[in-house]
Amino acid sequence: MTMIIGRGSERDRAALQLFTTANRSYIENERPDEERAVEGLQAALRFAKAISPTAKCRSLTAMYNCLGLVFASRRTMVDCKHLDVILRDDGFSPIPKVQAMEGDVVVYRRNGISQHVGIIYELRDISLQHNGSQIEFWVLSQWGEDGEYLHKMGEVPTIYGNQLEFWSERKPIR
Amino acid sequence: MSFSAALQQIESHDFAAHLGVANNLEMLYTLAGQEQVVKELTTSLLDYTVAVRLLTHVGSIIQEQEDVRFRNPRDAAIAVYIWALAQSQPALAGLAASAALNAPRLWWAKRAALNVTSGTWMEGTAEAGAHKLMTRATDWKDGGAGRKDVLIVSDPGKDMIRAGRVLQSELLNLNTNNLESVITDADYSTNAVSEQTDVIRK
Repeated sequence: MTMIIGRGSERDRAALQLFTTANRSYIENERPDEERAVEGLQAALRFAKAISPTAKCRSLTAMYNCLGLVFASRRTMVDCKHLDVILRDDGFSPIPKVQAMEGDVVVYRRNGISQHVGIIYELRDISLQHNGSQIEFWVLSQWGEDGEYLHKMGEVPTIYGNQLEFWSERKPIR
Repeated sequence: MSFSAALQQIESHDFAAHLGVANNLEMLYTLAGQEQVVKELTTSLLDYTVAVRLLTHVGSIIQEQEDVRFRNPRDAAIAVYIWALAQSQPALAGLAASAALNAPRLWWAKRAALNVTSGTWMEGTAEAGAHKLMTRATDWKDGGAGRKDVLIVSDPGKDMIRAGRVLQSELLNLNTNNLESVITDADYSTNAVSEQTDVIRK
C-alpha cells in the first residue's frame, strides 16, 4: 500500500512547482491523474446550462479548477483557501467595480470566504436594452471540475456566494 | 426513499455534476449536505446495520473496474459516503477511508479519506485509535478484507511496528485472535514524499 503524504505540497513530485510572482510563497496544488468520463462531463454541462442558460462552454474538462485557470495556466488544481495569499503576493489590489476592466479578476465570496475566481473578459454595453447606461460583466471561469465557461458575472452556482470583489494587478501607463 | 434508491441517486452523473462545482472539499460537503437524499442517508446511518451495508457497498464500488482511462464515476459519491459515515460511525468511516486511499482513480474520495484520517484517527494515541477501528469479519465482507478482522492504527511509525508495540494491543483487551492485518497510514519513507505502508500478517 502506497500513499502520498504532504499531497500538493512543495515536496509532492506530482504537484507543479508553483510560486507567487513575488516568489515568496509556494502555492500548494494538485494535478488530477485522470479526466472525468464523458458522461460525467456532459452531465456537468447540462447542470451549468441550467444555472446559466446564456453561458458558453469554452472547455469541458475537470483537470483544473478556477484558481488553476486564473493563476496556473489551466495546469493544476489550487484550493480556494490560497486565493488571498496569491492576490497579495502577485501584486493585486482591490478596485471598485466602476474601475474594473477586461483582464481584471472577480472574486466570489460567501460569508467572507473566497469560493471562486474568474477573469473579466467583456464589459458589454446593454444600455439600449435598458434606460440609461448599463454595463454587463462577462467572466471566464472554471466551475470546479464541471468545465470552463464564458458567463454573465452573476450567473454562477449559488455556493460561490454573492459577495463580489474586483481585483487588478494593472500597472499604470506612464 | 429506499436505501438502494438513495445510493442510485447519489451515484448518478447528475448528482456528481451538482457537487462538481466545488473548488475544495468543504464546498463539496456543503453542497452534499444541502441535498435531501444525503440528509436521509446520514440519518439512516445511525443504524449500525445500515452503516455496515453502506461500508460493504463502498468496498464493492471501489473495486469496480470501468474505463480505467477516466476517474471513477462514483468518486464524488464515495466521498459523500465517507463523510456521511464519519458523522455517526467514525470507525466504519475509517475503514471506508482506508479502502479509498488504496484505490486508483479517485479524487474527491481520497480527499475525504485523508480528511477522516487526519481528523479522527490522529486525535488520540495509536492504541486509542485501534480501539475505535476494530471491526468484525462478519461485518466487513468486501473490499479485500473478507473474513478478517482489521485493525487500523492511526500513526504508529516504523519504530513502533518494529518494536512490536502494535501487537501489544492484546494487553489493551483488543480481540486480536482473528486479526490478520495491521494497516498503517503514516509510515514515512526516507524521502518523506512517498509512503510505503507495512502490512503485518499474523
